[in-house]
Amino acid sequence: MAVPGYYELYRRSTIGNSLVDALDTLISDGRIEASLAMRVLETFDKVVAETLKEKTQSKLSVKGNLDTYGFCDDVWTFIVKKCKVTVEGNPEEADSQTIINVDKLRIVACNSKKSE
Amino acid sequence: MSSIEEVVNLIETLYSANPAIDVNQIQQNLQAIQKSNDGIHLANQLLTGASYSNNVKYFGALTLTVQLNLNVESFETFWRLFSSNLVHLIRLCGIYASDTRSNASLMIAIKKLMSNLSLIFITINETEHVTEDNNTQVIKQWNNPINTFIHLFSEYGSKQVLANNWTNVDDPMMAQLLQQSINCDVSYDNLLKFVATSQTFNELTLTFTEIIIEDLTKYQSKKHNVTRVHEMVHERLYISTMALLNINITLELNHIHNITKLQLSDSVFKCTYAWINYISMTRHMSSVTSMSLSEIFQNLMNLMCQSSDQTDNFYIAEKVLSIFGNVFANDPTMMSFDLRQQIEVIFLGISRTSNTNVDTSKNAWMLQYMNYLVTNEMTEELKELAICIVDYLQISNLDVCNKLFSSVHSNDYNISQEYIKVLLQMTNFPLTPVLQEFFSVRMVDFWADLADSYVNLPNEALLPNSTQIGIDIFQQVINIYLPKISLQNKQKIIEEDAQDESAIHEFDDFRSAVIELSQNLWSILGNEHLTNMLVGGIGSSDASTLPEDGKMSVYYQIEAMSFIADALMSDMNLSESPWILNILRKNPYFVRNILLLFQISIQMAVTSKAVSILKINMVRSSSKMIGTLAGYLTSNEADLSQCIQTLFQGLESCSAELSANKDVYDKVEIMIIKTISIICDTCRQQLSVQYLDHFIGVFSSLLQPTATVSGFTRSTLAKSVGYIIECRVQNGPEEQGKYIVQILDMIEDLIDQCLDSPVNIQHERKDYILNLLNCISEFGSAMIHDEDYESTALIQMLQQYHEFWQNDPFQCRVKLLNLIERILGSPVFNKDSSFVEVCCLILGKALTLPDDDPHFLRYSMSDIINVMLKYVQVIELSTSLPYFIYLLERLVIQFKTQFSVEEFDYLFNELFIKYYNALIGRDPDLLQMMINFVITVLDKAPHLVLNSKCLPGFIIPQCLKLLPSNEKFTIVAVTKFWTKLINNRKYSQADLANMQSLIMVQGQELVYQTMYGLYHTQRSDLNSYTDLIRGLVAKFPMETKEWLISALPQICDKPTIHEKFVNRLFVTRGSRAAGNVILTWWLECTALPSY
Repeated sequence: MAVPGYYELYRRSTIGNSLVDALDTLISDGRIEASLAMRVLETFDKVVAETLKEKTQSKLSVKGNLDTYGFCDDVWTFIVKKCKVTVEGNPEEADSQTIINVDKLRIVACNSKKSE
Repeated sequence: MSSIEEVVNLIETLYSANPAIDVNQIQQNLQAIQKSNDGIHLANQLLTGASYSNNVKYFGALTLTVQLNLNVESFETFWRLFSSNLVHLIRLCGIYASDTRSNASLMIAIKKLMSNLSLIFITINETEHVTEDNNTQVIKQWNNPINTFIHLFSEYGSKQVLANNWTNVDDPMMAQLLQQSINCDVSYDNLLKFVATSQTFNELTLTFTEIIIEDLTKYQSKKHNVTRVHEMVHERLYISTMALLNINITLELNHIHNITKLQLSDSVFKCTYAWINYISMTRHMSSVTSMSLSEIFQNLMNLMCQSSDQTDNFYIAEKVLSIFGNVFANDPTMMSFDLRQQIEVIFLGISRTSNTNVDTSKNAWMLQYMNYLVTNEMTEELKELAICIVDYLQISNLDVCNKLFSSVHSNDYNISQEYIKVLLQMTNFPLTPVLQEFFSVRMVDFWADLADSYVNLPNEALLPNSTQIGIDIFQQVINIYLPKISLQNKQKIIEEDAQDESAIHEFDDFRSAVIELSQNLWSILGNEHLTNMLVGGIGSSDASTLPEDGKMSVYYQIEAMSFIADALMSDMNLSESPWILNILRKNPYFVRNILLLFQISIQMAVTSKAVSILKINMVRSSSKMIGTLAGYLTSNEADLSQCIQTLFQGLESCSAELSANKDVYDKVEIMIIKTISIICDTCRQQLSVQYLDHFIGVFSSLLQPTATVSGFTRSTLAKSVGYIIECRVQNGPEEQGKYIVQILDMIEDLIDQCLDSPVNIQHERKDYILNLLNCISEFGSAMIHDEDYESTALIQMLQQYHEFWQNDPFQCRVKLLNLIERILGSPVFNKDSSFVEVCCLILGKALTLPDDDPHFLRYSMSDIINVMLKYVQVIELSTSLPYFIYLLERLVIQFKTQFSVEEFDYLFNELFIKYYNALIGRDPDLLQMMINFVITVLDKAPHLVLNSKCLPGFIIPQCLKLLPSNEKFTIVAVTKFWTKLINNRKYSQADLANMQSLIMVQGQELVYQTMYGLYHTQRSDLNSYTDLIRGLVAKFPMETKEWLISALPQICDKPTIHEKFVNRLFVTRGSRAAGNVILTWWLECTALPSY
C-alpha cells in the first residue's frame, strides 16, 4: 500500500554517503541526536526512491554478455560482462545518448512496489 | 529557568516568524527542561493554562511525547503520563467542539495528544506481563482507545465530574474515572449515538482511530515486532472503526442529520485510507489474523455509484476511485474476487468470467462519469481514472492471457474476444494522448505485459489458433498506437501550452514506451506482421506526389512508422538479413520517402517553438533511419548516393543558417553529421571506390575558416573520411599514404597559415586551430582497424604496409611532430590544457595498437619522451600534467620491456618529484594521478617500481604520510597502492623478496598510519582501507597482529574494543565480512550509531 518503508540501498550512493558523513559529524559535534539522524535517513530513502521514480527522464539500457544471474529475497542480481550501457537523456537534446563501455557491470534490481 | 512564564515566552519566541534570539540556544534550553524530571509538570501547566496560545499547548503535548520516550521506568510515572494525555485530550477536544471555527488551530495539539496515546496503546499492549504483578493498579492491556475516548468525552461536562477537574490531573475522582474508562465497553448503539451527537464528535473519533493506525503502521515498518498489538487491534479497535466507517459511508449519519446533499467529510476517506494501508501491511504477517475490508469496499462502491454531477459533481466518486486506485496499484488482492468482478463490470461493462447475470447498468454510471470528465476537460481526473482502471486490468493480465491463448480454461472464447474488444476500444480513446486522455498511455504497459505473458506460455498449453489470435490482437494494438504517437499530437500539446515542458516530456516518454512495446510485439508478430507492415506503410507509394492538402499528415504518419521501424531494425544487421533486404527492395519508395521526410524537416522554417521541436523530432527520426539503413545501402549504390547527397544538402542548409535559431540548426547539424559518419563507417568499401575524392573535396571546403560548421562536425567528418581512406588498401600503401598526406597537408597548411599570420591569435582563431588538431586526432582514430574487421587485401600486404609506415617516406610523423612542437613551444598555446590534451592524443594514438598493425602515427618511445621532457617545464602543470601522465602510462604499458629502472627513475623524478612540493602534493587530483601511475607500473612492470630509487626515497614515505588523508580520492589511491604493493600476482621471486623485506621494515609504521587514518576517516571512506588491512593480514599474519596490538592503544584508549577487533579480524574471511569487522570497530570507537 502507501509504502511504509523504503529500501536503504541509496544510502550507499555518493549523495547518500555524503549525507551519512554529514550526519556523523553532526552527531559527533553533539548538534543532533542519533535518532534524528535515523529519521533524516528514512526521509532520504523515501525521497530518493520517489524522485527517481517520478522526476527522472533518463533511460538506461544495457547490452552485453550475461555472466551470472540470481534471484533471492525478491532481489535480482545480474553480472553482465563486456557490456555497452546506453544512457538516453532528455529526448529533446540532439546528442542525448551517451554510450559507456563497461568490462563488468553488476545490476541489483529490487521490487519497486515492495517496501522493505 | 525561573518561572513558567519564562518558558512560555521562550516557546512563543521559538515559534515566532522572526525570532530575535538564537533559535538553537532556545531549542537546547527547552529540550533540557522537556527531558528533565519536571517535564510532566511543565507539560500539565502548559496544557492547562487558559491564556496560553495553541503553540504553547502544542509544546506541552510535545513535552509529554519526550517524557513518554524517556521517563517511563515505573508504572506510576507511566500512569501519570497516560492520565495527563487523556485528561488534556478530552478537555481540548471539548474546547474545540464548542467552537470548531475559532479553535481550529487547537487541532495540532489534539493530534499530538492522540499520537501520544497511540504510543501508550502500543506500549501497554506490547509489554509482556510474564510474572504476576501484585500491583492491581497496573494496567496490563488497553482494549480500545476509541471506547475510552467516547466514554470520557461523554462524561466531559456532565454533572458527575466538575469542569475544573479536567484541569487537575491529580484529582482522585478524575483518577477513578480514568481507571474505569480504560477498558470500558461501548455498545454499537452508544457509538452511533455518540457520533450522531455532532459532526465534530464524529470527526474527532475518526481522526483518533486514523492517528492510532497510522502510528502503528509506521511503528511496524521500523521492524518492531508488535504482534500482540495487532491482535488487540483486530479484536477491538478494528470492529469499532469498521462500524464507525460504515455508519459514515452508508450515509446513516447524513440521514440522522437530515443532510439531503451527498456529502462526506474528508476525515472518512483519510481514515479509510489509513486503515487500508494498515491492513495491507499486517495481512502479509503470518502471525496476524486477517482483517476483512469487504464491507467497506462494497459500501464505497455503492456510494461511488450514487455520486453524480447533480449530487456532488462526482466529488465522492473521485475520492473513492482514488482509494480503489491505491488498492489496485499496491495490494489488489485485498479486495475479494467477487468485489473485483463487480468493479470490472462497472469499469468495462463486461465480465471476463461470464456474460450472464451481468448488471451493465453500473457501467452506464462509469460512462456518465467519463463523459462528465471529458466534457468538463478534467484531464487530471481522467488521468487518475485511467491509472485506476489500468492498474485494475493489470491484476488479471495473466488470467486474460490464459483465457485468450491457452487451453487451460474452458472459458467461452467469445467472452474473451468481447473483453479484448472493449480493451482495444479503451486504448483507442478518441482524444489526444497526454493532453486530453491517458488511457492509451497507461494501456501500453498492459499490452506489453500481455505480450510478455503470451510469449512465456508453454507451447503445449497454447490453443491451436493462438498464433493467429495473437497476430490479430497485437496488430490492432500497433495500428491504434501509430496515430497516437504521431507528432501531430505533440504539436497539439505544444500549441496548448508551449511552456509546459512536463507534458512534452510525458509525450516523449509515451513514444519511448510504444517503442518498447513494439520491440516486445516483434517477438510475436515477427518481421512478417510487423516490420513488413511498417516498411510497406512507409514505402509502398510515392509520398512526393501527394496533393498539398493533407500532405503534412502523411509525413507525420511516415515519421511515426519510421520511428518504430528504426527501433526494430537498428538491432538487426541489415547486410546479413536477406528477409529485410528483400522487403526493402520490394518497397521502392521506402528510402525515397524517408529522404523526403528528411528533406521536408530540413526545409521547415523555424517560426515557433512548436516548429523547432517538431523539426528536431523529424530530423532525428529520418536521419536515424538513414543511419540504420547503412547495412542495406552497402548493396544499393543508387540509394547510397542519394542518401549521401541528401545528407550533405541538409548539412549545407544548416551551415548556411545564421538566424536567431542557430541552436536548433546546431542540433540538426549534429544529427546529420552523426548519420554521415555511420554511413561512412558501414559503407566505407563502397564509398572508397567512387566517393573518396568527393568526400575530400567537401572536407576541404568545410575545413576552411570561413565555413560556418561546428568543431564537432569538422572532426566527425575527418573521422568519416578516415574510415573511407582506411579501407583504400587494395592498391598498396603508397596510394593510401598519398591520401593520408593529402588530408594531413590540408590541415597542416591551414594551421600554418594561422600560426604564420601576423595578426595576434584571437580567441576564435585559437579555437579553430584546436579544432584542426582535433581533426588530425580523429582522423588518426579512424585509421585504427576495428578488431572484428578483417581486410583480406590488407592482410595480404601487411608486411608492405608495416615497412611503409616504419620508413614513413612522406615524412608524416616528422611533419606532425614539428607541428606539435610548434604548438607546445608557443606560449599562446602551451598554457591551454586543451592543446596539450590533443597533442598528447596524437602522440599516443598508436600506443595501444599491436606491434604489427601499421599506423601513420606510430611514434617511437624516445620521440614521445623527448617531447614530454622538453615541454613539461613550459606547460601549465596544474591543468596539463594529467595528459602527460596519461601519455606516460600508455608509454610504459607499450614499451614495458624496453624501459630500464634508470629511465623510470629519471622520468619519475623529472615529471613528478620535481613538482611534488610546489604542486602535486597540494592537488588531490594530481596526487591521485601520480599514485595511480605508480599502481599501473606496479601492475604492468613491477620490477621498475620495486628496484627504483624513488621507492624508498620518495614513494614509500609520501604514501605513508598520505594514509590518514582527509581527501577521498587520495585515500582510495594510496590504499590501492599499498594493497597492490603487498599483494601483486605479477611479482617474480626476486620482486616478492624485495617487497617482503620492505614491508618488514615499514610494517609497524604502515599499520599505525593505516589504523590512524581509519579511525579518523569518515564512514564512507572506511571501505577503502578494507583491502589493505586484509592484504596485510593475509600476507603478514603474525607480524600484523603484533603491529596492531602495538599501534591501536596509541590511537584510542579502548583496549576491550581493540582486542575484540584483532581477534575477529584474524578469523574473518571475505571482503564483506572484514568490512563489517572494521565498521564495528570504528563504530564502537567513535560511539556513532549503525544506520
